[in-house]
Amino acid sequence: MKRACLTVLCAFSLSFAADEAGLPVLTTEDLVNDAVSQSAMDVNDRSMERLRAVYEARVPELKRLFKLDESRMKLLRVAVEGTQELQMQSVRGSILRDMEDRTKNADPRTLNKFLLGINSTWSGSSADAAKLWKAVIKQVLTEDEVKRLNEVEQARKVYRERAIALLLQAIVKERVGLSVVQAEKLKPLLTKAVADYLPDLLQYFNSGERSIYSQYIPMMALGVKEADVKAVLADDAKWEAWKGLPGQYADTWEYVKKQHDRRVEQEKKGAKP
Amino acid sequence: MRLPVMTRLFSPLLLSGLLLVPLLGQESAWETAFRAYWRGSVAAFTASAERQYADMVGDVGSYLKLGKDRLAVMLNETDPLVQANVEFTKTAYAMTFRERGDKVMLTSDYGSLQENRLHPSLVRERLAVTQRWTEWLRARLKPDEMSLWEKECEKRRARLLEAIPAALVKRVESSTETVVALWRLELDQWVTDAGVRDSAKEAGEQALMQAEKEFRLGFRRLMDRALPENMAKPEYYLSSYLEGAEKRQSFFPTVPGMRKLVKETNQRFAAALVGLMNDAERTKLAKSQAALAKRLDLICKNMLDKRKVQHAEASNKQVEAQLSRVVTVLGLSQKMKEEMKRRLKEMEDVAIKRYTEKTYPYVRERVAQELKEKEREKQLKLMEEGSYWYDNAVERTRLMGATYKAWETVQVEFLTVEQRQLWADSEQKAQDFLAEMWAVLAVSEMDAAVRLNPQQRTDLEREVRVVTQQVAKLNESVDEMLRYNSLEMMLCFFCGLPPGTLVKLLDEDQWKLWKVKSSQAESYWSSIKAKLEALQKREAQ
Repeated sequence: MKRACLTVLCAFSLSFAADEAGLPVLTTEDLVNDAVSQSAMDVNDRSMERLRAVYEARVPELKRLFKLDESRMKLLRVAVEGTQELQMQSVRGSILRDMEDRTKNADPRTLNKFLLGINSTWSGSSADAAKLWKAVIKQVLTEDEVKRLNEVEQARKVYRERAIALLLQAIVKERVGLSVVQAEKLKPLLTKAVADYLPDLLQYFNSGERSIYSQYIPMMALGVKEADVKAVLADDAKWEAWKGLPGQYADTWEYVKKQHDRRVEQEKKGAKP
Repeated sequence: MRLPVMTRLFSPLLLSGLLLVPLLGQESAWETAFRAYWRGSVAAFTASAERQYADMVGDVGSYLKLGKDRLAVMLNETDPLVQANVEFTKTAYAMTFRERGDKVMLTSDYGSLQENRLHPSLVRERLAVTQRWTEWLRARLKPDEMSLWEKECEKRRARLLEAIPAALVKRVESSTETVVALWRLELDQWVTDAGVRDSAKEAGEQALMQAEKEFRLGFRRLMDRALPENMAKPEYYLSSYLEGAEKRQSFFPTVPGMRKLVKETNQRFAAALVGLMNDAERTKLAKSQAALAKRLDLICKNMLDKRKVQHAEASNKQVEAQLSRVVTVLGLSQKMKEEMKRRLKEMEDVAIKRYTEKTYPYVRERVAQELKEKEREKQLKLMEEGSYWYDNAVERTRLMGATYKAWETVQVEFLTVEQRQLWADSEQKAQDFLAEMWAVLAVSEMDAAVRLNPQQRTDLEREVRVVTQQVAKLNESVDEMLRYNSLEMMLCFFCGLPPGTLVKLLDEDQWKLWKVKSSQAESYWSSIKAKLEALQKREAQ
């Protein structure tokens, strides 16, 4: 990384000299791209593998479920490479946007500091990768196979929801201090809240079906209707504790709720003839 | 290898002595200390041996491409190997305690514990452990597989022998550098504390150079002597040595006698410095040391106070949560709740007093040791600011155990038999719920990582439920269990399954994907496992 920053710093100093001499000027984009490339090389093994693993882990399941000949397997392997590349592009894009804001008026030393920090700012959207994967799946599998795969994914989603719903019940019970009877009454309501809001929470993190952090789970309790909760709790202190479940993520909850309402609205419209 | 005559004569005597003393009922201080240490550590040694043999079997399996079914069977049969290895470790460690007497064990002593696994008097036992592994393997592999494996081991040995000379030189140099850095610190501190004359300072530098020379020569000699023993270790060590020697040009075998060498050279160096001082300098040094001791006393007291406050906060939180649950479930009055709380506090105070008395000397020695190894003033400042502190893990576990016991006592003192039953039933239900939740979360995480089929989800949930049922007994809050925030941490529960279970239930691709995640999961599991073992011990009592 040190080597990368030295290169970048030299390039940065050169850009001033080049400007005066009327030569092509290195832009922030060039500098950032260079630093990201170096950084990607430095952390290649770890980060690229991490991005790759997201889709690579799906291939063995497809091999298990369907008889895939070598040509279909080859396409899947290429798709895995593609998803990795798209995610990398997204990472580069997000760093570039971030850097452009931060480096507008930065002197070389500050810029160096930002570039040194690139390693710790690796994040990007997986939406394009997901799109690519979906398209390749459609191309590689027959219609029946896609249907079968959807069933498998649906069963996985149901199991995931069961897990998260149980966790939500446990957290609510502990933090609100529910009695056994209250916990039993709220169980179906919390389960439904998870089924309703989990897709939107996952969407918020752009994370497909995994990588959810536990601190965001409690907010989904607020998906239960206020009147239903109050009917069970009948205790002001507990109601206050309930309202405070999102903790410092109240804004995130507002966003997730809006997303959810918008999605439901769109689904309703789509369902109309 | 030829053993010195005296060692060969005394070896059986020493071992029989170790075994006979408890039978005669005259337990010495070191035996008491060792028994306590072993009770607290046997689980960790067992886990480490389990991991070691699982890795060794995995190594053989992947080299010979044995397939997951055979691997599962083999992994299930490592128990006798593990037990023999742990027994051997016990004998070696008992020796160290015998050598140390009843002195407090320091972190630096654990290195000498390791060294004793290579003690010359234990050569027969050590070879038996290695031999046992070879026989075990021979009984499970086909002759052609065994022969292939032996050839591979020979190749590895040959590669290691080739890589050793360069790595050895580097190791001697890096260790010498470390030791000399410590002496340099000692020398600088001595110059400041005693305010020595320039001529004495100059002579001190000469003494340091002499100590460096002695250490380098002595260490090289020890390394040469230790090499054959290290090379005779099982393949597991060879592979890791080979990796170290080839990839990092470094080589870290166990070197018996290294600590003794450091100690002796250290003593000679310290004695040389003492001899260089005049009376005035000696007096000044004594004064400086007395002032330092005072400062250290205060630091240690503050360290312990902080620890106690921290413990009290955590314990109060737990007590409050438990009492609230009892009050809700049994419909007890607030007055009774307060009474129970007061009684709990009373017992807690006694336990904390004991903890302080037992922990202070330990912390004091650790702090003194720390100052010898690092830049003194900087460390003192850090410690005074409370940037870090020491604790005695054994006493801390005991303190936690006392909190648990106090809770049991309070139940007996305040609740009727029927109430206790009602409470126990309610707690059981809560635990069952938690066990189900942890198990389903764990399987869901495994599903995301390796993509399970429905049957695998069912099978894994059933298996891991046995583990989470135990975890639920810990009575830890959900928030505490989720302190790392990532749900991926739930994968750690699979590390509590009997060896061979996962390899049997997953297919080969899934097994590979799991192995990528398993080391992180192992590290989470180790802390939960330690708590489970403490709980089991309490229950057994």
